[in-house]
Amino acid sequence: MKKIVLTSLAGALLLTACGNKTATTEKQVSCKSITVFNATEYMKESLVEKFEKDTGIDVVYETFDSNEAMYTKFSAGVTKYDVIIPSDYMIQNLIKKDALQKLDKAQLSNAKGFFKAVSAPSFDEKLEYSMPYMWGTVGLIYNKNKVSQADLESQGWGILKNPKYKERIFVYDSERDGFMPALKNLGYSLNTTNIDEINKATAWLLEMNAATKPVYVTDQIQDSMVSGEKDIAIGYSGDANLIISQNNEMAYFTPKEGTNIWIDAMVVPKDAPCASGAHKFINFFLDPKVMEENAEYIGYSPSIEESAQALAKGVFSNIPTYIPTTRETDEVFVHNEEIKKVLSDAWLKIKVK
Amino acid sequence: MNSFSKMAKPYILWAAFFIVFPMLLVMFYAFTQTGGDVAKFSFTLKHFIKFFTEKAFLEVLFLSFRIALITTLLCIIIGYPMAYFISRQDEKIQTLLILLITIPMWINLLVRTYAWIGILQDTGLINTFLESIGLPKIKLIYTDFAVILGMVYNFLPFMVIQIYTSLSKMDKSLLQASEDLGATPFQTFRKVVFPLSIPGVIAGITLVFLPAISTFVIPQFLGGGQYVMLGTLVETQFLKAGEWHFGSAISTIMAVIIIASMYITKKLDKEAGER
Repeated sequence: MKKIVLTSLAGALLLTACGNKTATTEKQVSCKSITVFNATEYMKESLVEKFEKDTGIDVVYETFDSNEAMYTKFSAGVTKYDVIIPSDYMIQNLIKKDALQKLDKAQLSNAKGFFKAVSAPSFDEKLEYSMPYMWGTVGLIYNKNKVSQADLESQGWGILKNPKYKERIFVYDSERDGFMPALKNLGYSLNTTNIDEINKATAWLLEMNAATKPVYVTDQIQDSMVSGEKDIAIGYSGDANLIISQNNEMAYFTPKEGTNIWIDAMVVPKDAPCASGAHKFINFFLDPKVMEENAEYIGYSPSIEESAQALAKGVFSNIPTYIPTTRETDEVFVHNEEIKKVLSDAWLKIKVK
Repeated sequence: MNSFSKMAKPYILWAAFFIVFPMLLVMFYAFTQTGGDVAKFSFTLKHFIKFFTEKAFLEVLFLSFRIALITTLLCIIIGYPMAYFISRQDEKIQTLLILLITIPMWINLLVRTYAWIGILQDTGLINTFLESIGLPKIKLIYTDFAVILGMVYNFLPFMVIQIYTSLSKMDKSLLQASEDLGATPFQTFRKVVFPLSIPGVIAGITLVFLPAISTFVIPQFLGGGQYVMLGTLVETQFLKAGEWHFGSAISTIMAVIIIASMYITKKLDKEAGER
């Protein structure tokens, strides 16, 4: 056993010393298994099996509930991951913490044909560290029979404060998605660091709380909107797709003031035990056909335009908003430790009011 | 005796590792803050000051207490007659009834709570029924009522089983003696049965109140996100806000509450025993 370790160590040293193309091909032979860390219900399992069969690489597949839970587990360092699929702001945080490795584009032949909105995201403008997976916007999921289109068009996010919809609203229970409508409606950036603007947004949300008495929920939004429990909900476009495909009274709307564009992307940690296998995995899932099949299963909109168009014309033709539309005023969320604490405390105060 | 205490030694080690050490770690986090340098910790009371000076946190504390107390009280009011009734049945029927009471506990808490959403929501079972017979809908979900219903439903078996155990253990000859001495059935209950069952009630209170004050799934699902209780607060601090120090401080406050309430119930138990 010791011998094996020693030889492999020596081999690894040699490889790093060479540090060229041959090194990567050598590595490809050496690792037989990768560990993937993804959000729950966010990948078609049979495709993972297909990848295993095609490449002979075993995939250990683990899931997380939220980016924050992912980060807690990842930074504990007990398990070493090869591929992780977090969201934009978390990728930015991981890059800042120097936890990700630069991707080798030579091994990613399928890295093309992305939507313009995701091809140069602010957190990784040259896509050096991440490969877009699914993307979308945050908007209002609403009941077409109960909510007037005119109100939506004219009031935008302000509809959340309209007493006409009192007790008819679900607000997404996270400070990030909760503050966004308020900040956007007031004409500020959703990434503002100006405490004065945050205070005004807090006041906005308190007014909303008093005027419409919304219920704050997270994952329940899906089931409850399918059954028509409320008329308006703040939600992700991906979830909207799932809801609309099960209840055609529902529709999705992004207000004119702009919204949050979110991008979930595949990354490889710096300490990934099998980076070459990770690249193979990412490349496999970037294949337009695989991407299409995967997105059809998940219900979210894929990052590759060709795959999305095929689905929009095919299985999801009943969802007019399947392909997210974007505006000049839309922004990608930026991670800021200090502001997050301020918002998190303020959010609690708003909710318990 | 000596050999027995030797056998307990591995357990002491186990307890030190898995109970005492984690507790100390939580306390350590609660009383420290991280400086500019990641590896540097310094002593602070600011997390506790933050908790006790902020109205929102105190409201959370108050709400947790209120809900847990109401839940415990209702569990006694509903659970005592149930346990009493069961203990008066044939032995075979007793076993069956106790089994029936525990059956819901075989199902995962999350699933049971989700089922209540399906029953209580505006488009749920009750309201659909009311609508179909021409009655107006009633607002059930996301109210105090829904949260307390879910809590009582979930914790009632703990209370019933505790009270039932102390009632069925009771020496039946005492009841006969009371009757022979001319006491009415109500007097027998008040003077003999109830005092003897108090240890069961107190054990039940401990088993209901403590989990009730720290629960977070039930209020979140049936009350909505605005229903923040202590358990929810700890969860958010650790998993969402990443504030381990503040989260630990709240955990410490909860531990103090739990130890204090255990002390009080124990004292009540003793007093009841002395009487």
